[in-house]
Amino acid sequence: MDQRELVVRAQRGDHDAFAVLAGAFVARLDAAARLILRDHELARDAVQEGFLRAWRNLPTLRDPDRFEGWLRSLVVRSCIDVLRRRGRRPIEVELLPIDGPAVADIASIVADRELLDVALARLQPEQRAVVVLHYYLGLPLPEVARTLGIPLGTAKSRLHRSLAAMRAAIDADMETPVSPIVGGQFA
Amino acid sequence: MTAFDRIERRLPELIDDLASATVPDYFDDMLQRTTRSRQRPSWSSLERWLPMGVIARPLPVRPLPWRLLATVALLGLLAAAALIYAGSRQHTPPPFGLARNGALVIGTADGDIVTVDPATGTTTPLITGPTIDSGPFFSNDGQRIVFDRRAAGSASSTMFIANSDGSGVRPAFATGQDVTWFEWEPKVDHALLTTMVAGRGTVATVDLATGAQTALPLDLDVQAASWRPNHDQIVITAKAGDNVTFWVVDSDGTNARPIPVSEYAINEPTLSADGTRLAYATWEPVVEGRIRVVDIDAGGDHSITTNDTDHFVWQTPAFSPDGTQILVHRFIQGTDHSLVAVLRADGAGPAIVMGPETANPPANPFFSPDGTQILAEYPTLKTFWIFDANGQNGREAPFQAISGGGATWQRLAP
Repeated sequence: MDQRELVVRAQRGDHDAFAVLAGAFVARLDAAARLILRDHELARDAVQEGFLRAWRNLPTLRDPDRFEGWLRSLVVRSCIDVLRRRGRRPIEVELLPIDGPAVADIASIVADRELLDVALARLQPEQRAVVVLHYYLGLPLPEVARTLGIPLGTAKSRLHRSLAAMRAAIDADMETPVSPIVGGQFA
Repeated sequence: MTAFDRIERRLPELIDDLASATVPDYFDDMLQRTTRSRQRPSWSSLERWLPMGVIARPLPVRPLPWRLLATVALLGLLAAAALIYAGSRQHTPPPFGLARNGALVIGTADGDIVTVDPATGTTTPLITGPTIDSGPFFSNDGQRIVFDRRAAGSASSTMFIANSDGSGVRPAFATGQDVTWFEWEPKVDHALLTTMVAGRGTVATVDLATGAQTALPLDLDVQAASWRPNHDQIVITAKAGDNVTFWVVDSDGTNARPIPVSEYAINEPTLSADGTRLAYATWEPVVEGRIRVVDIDAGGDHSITTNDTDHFVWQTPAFSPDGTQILVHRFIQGTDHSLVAVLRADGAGPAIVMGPETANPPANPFFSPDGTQILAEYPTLKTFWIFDANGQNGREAPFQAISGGGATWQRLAP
């Protein structure tokens, strides 16, 4: 059964069909939510809310072929909603466990990932959303704009400013001198 | 080359490494939650264009004694209008509460909408044609019917409206929106629309005759809106995290005040026909799926199902027309299997379960306008069942149900 048929069935109340669709997309969207929100609990809330909205509103989806983009949009907007409800409180930066890559310059890659993680943490959530949609989910900017419900020009400028902010954060981080070890402390 | 230049060149790869894409451990629980939530009716989906198939065409005209004809026509129109006015006055039921049973209308496997005799199963075409028409829903006064129309082979649909005799079929709204909920108002050709605007639910009143919409000035993320019977007020369901809150507002959207209910309320409530009480479902951390009732003005929120843990989950309450009973789904905890049940609205006595047990989608039960019967559509079994209002004497109806076909019962003056 192809995706379109699954969507049509789910639109008519077939929950098994919805479960198959959800299983196909949840891993990637959960990861995207974690990147945007930088908090596992908040990401779980946002993904659950997005999928719940999808199930409830699925009969109103006009074109079954647009299901993936529509679902993605619901989850990303739920991420933004979660932050709005939380009053934009500062979110704990959480460094994720990293599986070791099978390449020679492991130290360099790990270092770059950590720098990227720090840089992403310093972005506004809306900026992270643009970066995640474009670079993680691989959406072209017009699709990023549609997903976030913003004009294309806004998406372009937001991405530009995000990259500039990340550059500044990483450059600043690279220039930060290593803290001296206090006398008597063992490394 | 700076560190960022190096990172930017490999940004997709690095960002992919930052968040491993695996099925999260809450996936099964999330699916369970979706089974407990009703889907929006499909007919709340609107197209972003209007079919323009019917256009005025000039007809050949020959000379006629137009003054005489015009006078006769004018007199005829006045007489017809007087008859129609008198007829409508005579046959319009009160917008809420008990009414006389009118036409029972269902969607068929052929994509038509028909009236059906509940005793014999004999059908009479109401809305037919090559389009797939389904999900009929009568207005409170029984004069209009809204339904979902789509072209064969297409999942895209448009909400249409027609007179109760099937005449005057026309698109229900002039503009398409992300409509998530539709409710009739007591006034003929008026409705409440809940729409999503930039990810936030808003509600508007709409004049279906003109298409004019008036947004209500609410600072709430609206999930649904219902007219409060016998009051010039609207009851709003607003999102609050995973749960909802209920508000009563004046019909112009001002003077919003919260209705004191459980913090674990979920989904849309049901209102008693006299507009005094609200029944709703909860989902607490330990005791899942309970039904509670509150007096909208006086408070006194209380459960009408046991608060003890058991293996039942109660959901989707719907008041009977006389306000004495509440129809619900009784799920077996941890499954999507459910039975239709009826509870006393005062919480006295045990629940009465009826009909066959089904998996999702659950049955769609509703009371007849006169409150003497319950009709339940079982999409998975492709059958309708009819029960007495007390849940007894259940029997399979002599007409077939189809997935998404829908059923509605016209209200007439007693």
